[in-house]
Amino acid sequence: MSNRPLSPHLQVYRLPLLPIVSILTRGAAIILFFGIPVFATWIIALGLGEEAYRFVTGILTSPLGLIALISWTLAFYWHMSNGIRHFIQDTGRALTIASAEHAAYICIVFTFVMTTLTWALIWGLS
Amino acid sequence: MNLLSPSSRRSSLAQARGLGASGTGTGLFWLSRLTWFATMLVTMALLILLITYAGSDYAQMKAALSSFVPTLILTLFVAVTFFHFTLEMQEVIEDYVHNFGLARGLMLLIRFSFVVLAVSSLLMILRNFFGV
Repeated sequence: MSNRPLSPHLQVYRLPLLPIVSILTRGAAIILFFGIPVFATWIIALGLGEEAYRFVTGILTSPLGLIALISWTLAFYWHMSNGIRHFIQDTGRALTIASAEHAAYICIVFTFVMTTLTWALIWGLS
Repeated sequence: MNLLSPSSRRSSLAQARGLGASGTGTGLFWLSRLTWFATMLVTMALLILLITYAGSDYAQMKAALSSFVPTLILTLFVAVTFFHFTLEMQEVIEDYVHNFGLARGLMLLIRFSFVVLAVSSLLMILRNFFGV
């Protein structure tokens, strides 16, 4: 009995690259969604005055705040590059497994390069 | 069905054609792609703006963001991005929240709070621009 093959239930099934990339794209979108109220808080604080602005930027430049900001940068470049990938695939191109995986690797490299570049510029210029 | 409308003169098949399972055709699909493209451009512009003024204190940032191009980028960012998120969160909620009432309620909550956030943000951006 114990040697019988298992159905590919989600918990015993090692996900291939493409579903992981797909799930992470939606995950990135949900992370970005929670960035919108933070952007609004920042811009409203700028209008309210120096005390409010210092309070908000104090939180955003704390270690936890920076982790959140870097996560949003990663999530933005990831969601953006996968958006381009999806848009190309919506036109019926790059739909074989090999070319879709190739595109996924391009998205991974793009995300890390652009996030590193963005934060290098931010820390280099400030 | 409104019998006086011109569409009622078309056959049932002609009326249903192209509408698909959503009942509204590809309108929402295309709108979400359009707002995605606009969001991408305007967020890149916002990132360039933030990189340019990184490390500014309150007075410097307030002065920097009060000129025309930064104000344009900020207002477009709020208008375009907030709209894109309300569209895309509808898709996410429709996929995972299977209780119809709860899904509708969540969507209304997101739309109402995003309108409040967007209008508040726009007022503050414009207040800074006009210097009042």
